[in-house]
Amino acid sequence: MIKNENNMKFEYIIKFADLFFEESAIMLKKRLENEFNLRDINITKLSKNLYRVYKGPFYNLGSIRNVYNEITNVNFENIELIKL
Amino acid sequence: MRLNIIIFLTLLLTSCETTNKKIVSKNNFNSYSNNGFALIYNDDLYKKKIVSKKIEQRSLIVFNNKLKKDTDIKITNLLNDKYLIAKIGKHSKYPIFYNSVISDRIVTELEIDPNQPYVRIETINSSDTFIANKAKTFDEEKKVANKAPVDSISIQNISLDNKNNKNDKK
Repeated sequence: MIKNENNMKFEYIIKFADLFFEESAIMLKKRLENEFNLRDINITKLSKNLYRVYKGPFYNLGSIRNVYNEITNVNFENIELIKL
Repeated sequence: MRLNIIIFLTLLLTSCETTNKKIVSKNNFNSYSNNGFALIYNDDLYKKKIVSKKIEQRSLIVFNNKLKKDTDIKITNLLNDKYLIAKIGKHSKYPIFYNSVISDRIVTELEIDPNQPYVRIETINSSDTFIANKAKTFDEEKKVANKAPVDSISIQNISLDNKNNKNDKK
């Protein structure tokens, strides 16, 4: 029952990339901020050699859709939505 | 002597061949996976020109612009882990925010929540044969067959013993 409630909770992030090196993740974050004027880009360490660059979290469909539509000009190969 | 060396060297150099062989993979399988929201198709979307092509209500067709038509895909409802195998339909226009457009049948079969249609689209390798995993035989295992001592092999007929036992009981 608790699991279902957690599943229903709307909390998503927009994932840009999962990178092997922290330096690469920091570099990507800087480029997204400087070249595409994106704000609130975060980096989280998933494992010893995996760093996720993402934006969010978002708590409703409208806000995530608006931000997603703004960042489509980045032309990333595979931007994903990840549920927290 | 010099002449011999020159002939030998010319033969050696001319017989050498540069091999620029390209390794061509016969496997055309392209792996693709994407987590995101699916757009649930209805006729209003088509009438309002949000989606440019129709999907039959009972079909297992999915629109996805990153994959080729007729590609087999696995579509998973990430909220309850239910999945099914579907096919990519014709190239269609739909809002870029969504990773796919799905039919009503897929929604009902995967019990997708219309408020959170959070799905994973991934390609599946539909070739007939594939290696799931390679088995490892450890050195210790290999030694067992050779070292296990078998002195003699005898055959015992169990059925006769049973008959005798029955007779004894009588």
